Amino acid sequence: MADHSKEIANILKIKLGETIDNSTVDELVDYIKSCEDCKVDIDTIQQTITIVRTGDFEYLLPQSVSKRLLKVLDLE
Amino acid sequence: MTDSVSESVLIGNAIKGDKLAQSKLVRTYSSRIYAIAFRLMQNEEDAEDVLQETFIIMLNKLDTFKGKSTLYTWLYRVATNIALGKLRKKKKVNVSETFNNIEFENISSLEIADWPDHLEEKFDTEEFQECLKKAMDELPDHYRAVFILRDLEGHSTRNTAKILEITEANVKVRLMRARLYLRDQLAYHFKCVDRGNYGRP
Repeated sequence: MADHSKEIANILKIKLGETIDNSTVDELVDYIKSCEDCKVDIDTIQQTITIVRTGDFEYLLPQSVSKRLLKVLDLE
Repeated sequence: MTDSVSESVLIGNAIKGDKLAQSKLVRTYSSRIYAIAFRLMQNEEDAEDVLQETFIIMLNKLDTFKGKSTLYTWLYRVATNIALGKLRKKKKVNVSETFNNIEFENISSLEIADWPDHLEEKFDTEEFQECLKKAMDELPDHYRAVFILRDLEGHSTRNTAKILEITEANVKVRLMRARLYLRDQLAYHFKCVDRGNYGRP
């Protein structure tokens, strides 16, 4: 990846998930269209976040843990 | 009465020692605090310790809560700090040291190939879940905390910075590093990059 593309890709990586203004979005989308490496770079990071979310099950509070908590706090 | 007003009434009553109000606050937030504790500690026993300590602090220090943030954010900060403190004590630094030795310049210059289609078919395999768990385990605590709060819990950069008491710029940098590290670990798993070129075992 060329240095300029690397720089843009790094900016995009930092901005991923951030709120950015529409004109900047348009500019970045246009740029990505012309840079296949940047597209792969950004897509794979976005996919990573999705994959980790998928694998991240809800850690439900077990009833036994909840009961012990209330007991410790003297709130039974 | 709005939720925030009713919560401030509950908080006021809880400070005065009203057990019902205290119990209501604990029941309202215990599930979410347990979830963040589990994600950070990666095991039930430690997550329960963090949960209990968080609410003991809440009951003892609720009068210091000024309402500048929501109670939820305040509890998050308490729980996260307790969890990070416990992780530091456990000397999980061994893996962190390995991680810190990674040249981040090298990570960001990795030539990542596009990932294969139908990746979702691999998600349910034990091997993949193991890879994902290992990658999360290997992330140093301060990177993992940012990743969990931003990308899993959906907190804003500003809120994450407040919870962890770091700057927003720091949140962004840690988040990028965590994402890159996880991406590269998954890329290895999907055989999209050559391990030999990466300089990691």
